[in-house]
Amino acid sequence: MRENSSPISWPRILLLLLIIGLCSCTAISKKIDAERTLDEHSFILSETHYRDVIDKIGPPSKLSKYNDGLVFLYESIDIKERQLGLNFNYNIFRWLKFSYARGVAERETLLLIFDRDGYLVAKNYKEFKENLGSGQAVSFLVSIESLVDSSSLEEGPASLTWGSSLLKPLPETLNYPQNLGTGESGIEQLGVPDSVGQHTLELAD
Amino acid sequence: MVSIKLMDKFKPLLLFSLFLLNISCFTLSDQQGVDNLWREESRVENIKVSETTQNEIIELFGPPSQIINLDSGAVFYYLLQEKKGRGMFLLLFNFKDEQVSYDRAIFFFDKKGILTDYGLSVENIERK
Repeated sequence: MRENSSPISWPRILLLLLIIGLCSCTAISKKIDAERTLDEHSFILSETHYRDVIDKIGPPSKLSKYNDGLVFLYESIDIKERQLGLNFNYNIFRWLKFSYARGVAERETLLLIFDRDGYLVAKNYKEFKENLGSGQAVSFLVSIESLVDSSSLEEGPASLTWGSSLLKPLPETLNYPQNLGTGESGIEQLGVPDSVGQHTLELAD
Repeated sequence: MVSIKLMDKFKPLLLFSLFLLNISCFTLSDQQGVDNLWREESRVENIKVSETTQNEIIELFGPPSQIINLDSGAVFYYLLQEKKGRGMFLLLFNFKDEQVSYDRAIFFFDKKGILTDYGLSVENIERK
């Protein structure tokens, strides 16, 4: 009897795995403005001028007037999303995958505030991880789609989107002159919820 | 019986062929913003702090992406955004990498419109 029982070989195990559940895992990475090195220690309060900052690390991601002076904001973001996918080699399900995703954003932020003469009066550097949450989806097997919402961290500069901003909902369009991306009314970090602060004028949900 | 044995023999090869057939890859590239003329040395060497005017900067580099009105004078902010990406579909494992870079130039003027400071970003995007 033992001689008749078929031995377990690796092609059979592989075939079994293919039948039970074919893994279709995905790694998505997005780096935004991540090439420069941010560091606050080389800047000294009341001594560093904004021209020294620009010479050292270049123009900021955002700048705005602030009281009589100005404020620089440097931001660097590295978004990482990992997806675990399962596919069943049965009937129509063989063309679909069931995915579960988790995302995290590694962020660096440097804020520098200058007085009316251009000298540094306040500075702060922060490096932190932001949990972007999770997502699930059923999608076509041959597709790579992000399942975690990181759109608020991927907003482009206001100068590249001002035209399309005129097509936004009316409260948002009317609020555009006070927009925090124009450089006239202050600045804000990427990812700030739309239902707080200055954005409350836009009547977002 | 012979054909089943033959199938068993070539099964790994068949599976590997199936794996290869399902490989696909892609790249993406996109630029948005103004032409980064500030990377041309012949233009940059014409810039002189306390001498160059707003008009001369506009003639050299074109209209800025953004003009910011500070109390001490105007700021011209030039910006070129580049998105580069690549991905691979391997059936068992897929990946997609995307990188967004910015090439920036900034010019500060006094109330008379004379250049007081300027700077270029460390990142340098190749012009297409």
